[in-house]
Amino acid sequence: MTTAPMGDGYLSDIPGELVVRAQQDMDFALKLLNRDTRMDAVSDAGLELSEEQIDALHASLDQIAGMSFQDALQTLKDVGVTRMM
Amino acid sequence: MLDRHEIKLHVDRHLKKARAAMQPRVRSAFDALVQERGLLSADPERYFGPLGHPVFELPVWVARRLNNEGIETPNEALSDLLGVSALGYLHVRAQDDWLDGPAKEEPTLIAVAEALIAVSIRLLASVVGTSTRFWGFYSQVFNAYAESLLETAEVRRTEEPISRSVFERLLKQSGPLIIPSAALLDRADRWQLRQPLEEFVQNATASSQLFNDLTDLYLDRDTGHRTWTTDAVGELAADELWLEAARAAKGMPGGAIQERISTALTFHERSARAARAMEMTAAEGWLKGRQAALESLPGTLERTMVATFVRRMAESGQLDLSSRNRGQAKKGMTQ
Repeated sequence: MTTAPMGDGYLSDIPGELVVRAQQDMDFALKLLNRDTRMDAVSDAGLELSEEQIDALHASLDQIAGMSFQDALQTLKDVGVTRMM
Repeated sequence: MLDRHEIKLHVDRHLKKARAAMQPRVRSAFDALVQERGLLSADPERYFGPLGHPVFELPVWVARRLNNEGIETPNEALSDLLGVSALGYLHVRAQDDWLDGPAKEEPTLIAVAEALIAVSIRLLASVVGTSTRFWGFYSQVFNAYAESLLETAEVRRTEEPISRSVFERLLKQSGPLIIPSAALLDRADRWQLRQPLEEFVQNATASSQLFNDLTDLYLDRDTGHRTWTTDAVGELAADELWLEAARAAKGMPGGAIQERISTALTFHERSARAARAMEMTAAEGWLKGRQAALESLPGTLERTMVATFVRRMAESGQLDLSSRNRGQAKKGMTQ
């Protein structure tokens, strides 16, 4: 797995296997995104992580998910000329 | 009756004509406003989106409604009212931008607003003449608009929570949108349609405002711009909203996002009822488009969020790798 040190914000402990699989399978990505089903996704990918790694993974993915949500809202913004206030 | 392409031609023609009559300083401010709003752009789609307000189509829908009962609106009158729509809309935008802007001593936007309202009144007078009924209504709409403008400034100065009733009062700032269509009703002596027309404008505006406030949630929060949505969601809950959106994608109901979208849909349905009450059938396509856009919003939000999530993860991996490579390169240099 990717084991770069923390310190670059959300650039942290996300196993490469999870990233590759999320890119190939949107259902898997959704499972990984949702904190309630995230560990199922980790198991599906056949990974065994220590408690410390799991905590770091949650922290990183939560941060990425929060930013992704904000990005998604901006993407959906009405850009028409008659946008109100 | 005019199609979208023709409507845009009339709107653009009036904007250019108004610009030509302006003096240099005002013209320069007008250009900035037009550019900022994306008007006079080549893309007609941006004039007629389902989630924006139907500023330019509404007078045409009303003219079609009148035409259905045999009342014809001369093209010239309709064109002038499209000019009122465009210039009146920019007038409101200029004042709102001034209110939102940091430098209240900077008079540029107020000056351009003055110039715009003057041309707009001239065009209105060419359609309704000296109608006491119309100008009485005009005065009433702009009094409510002025009061709402001051209330908005007051709300922004204080910590007063923005409730639904405050939100609805502040929406009076959009009241002037009714003016061109009300002029048509006055001219045709169908003033009894004014009530459902007001209902339509008020609810359609509330619906699009709620959508905008949702998509602007974090921007508003970061700039300290309070709205009914920022107050309703709350500071702490906003950080957990992504989780709610992810859970909603798994079919779990409820939550603040769903509640906001449902409220926008409720306002939309009221606007659709008002349109039906006045038999404004030409609005049906637009109403269906807006309904579909609002109903599909949770799914669209989820898909966009997941796609961004995957992209950001992949980018973080790449950045991670490059930062490690940089670290190794540094090590190599010191060895």
